Amino acid sequence: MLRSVLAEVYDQTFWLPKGASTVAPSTDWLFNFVLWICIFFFLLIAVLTVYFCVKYRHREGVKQESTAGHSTALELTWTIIPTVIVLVIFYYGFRQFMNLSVDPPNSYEITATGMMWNWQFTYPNGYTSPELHVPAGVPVRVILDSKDVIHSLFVPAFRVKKDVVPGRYNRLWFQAEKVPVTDPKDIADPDKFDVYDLYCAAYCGTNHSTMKSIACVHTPESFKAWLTIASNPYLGHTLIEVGELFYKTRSCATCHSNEKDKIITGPSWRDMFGSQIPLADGTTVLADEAYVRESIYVPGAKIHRNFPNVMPSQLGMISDTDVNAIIAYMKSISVNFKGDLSQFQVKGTAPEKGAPTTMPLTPSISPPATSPATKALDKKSD
Amino acid sequence: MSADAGTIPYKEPGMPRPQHVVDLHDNYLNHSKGIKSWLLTLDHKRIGIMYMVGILSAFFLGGLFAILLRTMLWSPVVMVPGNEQIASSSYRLYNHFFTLHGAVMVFMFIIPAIPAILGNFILPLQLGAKDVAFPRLNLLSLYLYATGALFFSFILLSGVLHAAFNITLPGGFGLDTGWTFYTPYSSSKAQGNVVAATLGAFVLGFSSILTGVNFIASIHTLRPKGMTWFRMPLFLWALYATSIIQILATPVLAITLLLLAAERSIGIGIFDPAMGGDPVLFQHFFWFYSHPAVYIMILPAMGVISEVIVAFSRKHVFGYNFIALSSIAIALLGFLVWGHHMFVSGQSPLANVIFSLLTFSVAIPSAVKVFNWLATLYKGDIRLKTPMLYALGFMMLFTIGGLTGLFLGALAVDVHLTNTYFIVAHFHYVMMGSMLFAFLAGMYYWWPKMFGKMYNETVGVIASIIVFVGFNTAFFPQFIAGSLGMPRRYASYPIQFVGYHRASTIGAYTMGLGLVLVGLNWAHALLRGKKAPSNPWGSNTLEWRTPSPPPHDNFPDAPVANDPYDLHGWEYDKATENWVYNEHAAGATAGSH
Repeated sequence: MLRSVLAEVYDQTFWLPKGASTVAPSTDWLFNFVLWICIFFFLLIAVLTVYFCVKYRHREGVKQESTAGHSTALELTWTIIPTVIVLVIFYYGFRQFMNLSVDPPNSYEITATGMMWNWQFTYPNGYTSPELHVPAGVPVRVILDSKDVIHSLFVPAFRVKKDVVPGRYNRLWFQAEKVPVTDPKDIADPDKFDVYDLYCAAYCGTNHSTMKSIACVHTPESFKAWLTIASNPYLGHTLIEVGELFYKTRSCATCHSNEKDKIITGPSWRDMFGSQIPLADGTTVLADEAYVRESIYVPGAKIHRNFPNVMPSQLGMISDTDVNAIIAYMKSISVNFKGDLSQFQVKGTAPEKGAPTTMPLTPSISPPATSPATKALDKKSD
Repeated sequence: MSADAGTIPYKEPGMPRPQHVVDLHDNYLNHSKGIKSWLLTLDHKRIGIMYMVGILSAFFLGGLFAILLRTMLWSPVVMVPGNEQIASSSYRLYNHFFTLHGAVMVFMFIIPAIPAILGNFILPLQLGAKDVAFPRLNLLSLYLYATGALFFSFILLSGVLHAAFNITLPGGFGLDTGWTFYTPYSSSKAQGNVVAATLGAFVLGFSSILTGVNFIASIHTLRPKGMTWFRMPLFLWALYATSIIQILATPVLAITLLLLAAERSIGIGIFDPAMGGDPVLFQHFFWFYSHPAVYIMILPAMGVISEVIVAFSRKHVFGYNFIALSSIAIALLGFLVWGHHMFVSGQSPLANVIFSLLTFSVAIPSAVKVFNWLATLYKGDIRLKTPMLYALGFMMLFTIGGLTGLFLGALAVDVHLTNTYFIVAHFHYVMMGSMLFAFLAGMYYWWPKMFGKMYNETVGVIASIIVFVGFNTAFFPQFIAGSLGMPRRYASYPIQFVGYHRASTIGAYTMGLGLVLVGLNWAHALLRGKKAPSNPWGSNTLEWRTPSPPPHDNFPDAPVANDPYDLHGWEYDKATENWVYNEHAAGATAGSH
């Protein structure tokens, strides 16, 4: 269902990667048009330079002929011809750029949020994923927003790129080319899709070069099936499994390891739950449900003594229900949790209605009234 | 003024000109002795030489870090095995490397190199003058450069030491924003010592402004008898155009950096949206300076090339008026195209279209210059000496750099290519390839005049070929990697780009080797070089009418200028290996072109 490993589909011409969007052929045509103009003029200048240097090289006793110091006709010629050529290039660049700038009104809308150093793509039903999944043959509008600094969304195969600027919504659009389906029964298979590289193209700090993801192109049927399943991770999985999934896909794993002595940017989650966390002021706090939840939504509230305060708030990005799943996962990998794990090892049977992200209308920084453990019990009785 | 009459008598109005006895052993290098005579000198030639020491040191520093970062990029994943924390610190190190490389090269090498070294040394000589218009201002600009450069390098190196060895110097975390200081990363997220670094760039900017003021005043007031505006050497036209940009654009950078420092240190919201600012506004301000700055880099280079091509083709330059005026046209149009750096920033499509059109308009004068140089070669008497090889190399690299600009000016193609290695390759061809080749051409061309010593021609030729091959091996593959989608400023990169990166790294090493050879050749010339004649190339500009190296006061008598590119009458004298002026021969052929 989810790809943790970036698939490498790499098909290219000498200069450009294989195009996979409807705008790619026009952009490629213009690229090649300019390329041949460049090759022609470079060869013209290079060949003449070399020819003159050989033909008119200094030889003893041979005096150079006197030639004109200027020639208005010649100079006008080599002013006017390049002017016409660049105006033609400008015109085609302009026309194609207008195509790229005006998104069709019936576009499917996905929001891309850039943050140091991850992507989050939000689909119309509220589901978020770290990878961009799109249906082929349908125009897709991507609304771009940043949580911190300037990023830039770049999919080379689609020939699109736009800066992701904090404080303003930029947008881009493309229409991915139809995916050739060889076997009709694969049409609606959610696991069958083409994969293209997706990059952050604007320098955004230390781990800029890791801010990569993939763009996955499905058939419309496959996309629908994928979104249904992906939006309901609780279906057919235990709470611990879902928590582990979120750990990997909601970028927790970027900074927190789940191994004992492995430190990335933040503290390891192994054996964290139920332990005493040393704080900067010398006191300690028990890593219980309230502490974990607060640390996810308000990371700066209680900072571990040995780590910098660098985690971005996940408020509005990870729902309460999903936090419960993450807590269940943390319990499952902690020797300090003394409770009964088996209650979290029951597979979900019905789609969880709270799974999509629910934005709290007012930021709540107080711990929940009921503990996640009781909620998990409630869920079981559903 | 009167208080200084004793030290610089020739500045005192009304004072009779001291009659010089031509003493062949007196020159600006041995005119006075001791460290103080250098540090407090008002002689533009000594100031130029001191600039040379500083700027070449900066070039060495920037080049060293280019080699280091190319070495890191040999491997697609960061070479340090183990966990992500080490990987992350290695990314941090890479980010400091490319920031240092870019900032040092741009602010401390490319922008000042030709104006401050060759301009300072040659401009008064080409004007037949004793010095620039404001010698004290000239010395002040040198000290501002030295102060800014030392301070800026210290901050940048502190960052590298901190990232590499966890050593904390007063420079703290240094700078990892890239030389572009983009907000809001620089103003609110970057850990480094951004405010101090902007101060360094700020001081360097003032050095640039003062040089510009000095050159404009000198060209307006100090031209000799016979030198009308359209009889000025093209190098002076280029420096004049450059100076206009320096004094108009650099203050904008200074203001922008001050605003950035104000936002970062006292929280005035200008660029950070979290404080009500607009990050794209910073890009407008920044490129309003930094795009014209590209022409600060390339215009003096074009001036050097015009001089060198004429001297080694033994022909009058083709289309003098056009080359002269196109420098001014480029300088003015260069102010109107800054928005082409921001085609994907979200600025309005209308603005994008206008900037695209203006960008193409600035391409025309550059293209025509290349054709004019080509026409100068036609039916010449071409001598492929080292300066000429670099000038020809410049023509090739500038043509590639300029033509690849057509891809980037075309809006839709720019959307795909911007912020990839295609951009990196393009601006290295223009800023690094072209400017560096012109700088080396100029250094070799004027070396005999500056030091009175000849360099070794064979070594010069070999090194120029190695540098040319190395440069193209390093940067041409980056065009391909970029158009295939390789984003710039990546510490680690996808495996499919490994071949291009390795070619680049091999090219960088090759070029480094060539440049070491250049340095050795110069050092050898200084210590063991053959004595240079007054006019080893047979040029007709005024700097060649005084001994090499020039005496303290430049000329025994005020020279009279004629057409700087009329080479008739200069004849080679095998015995002295010098070109001497034969009035009879000049009269016989004058006016024949």
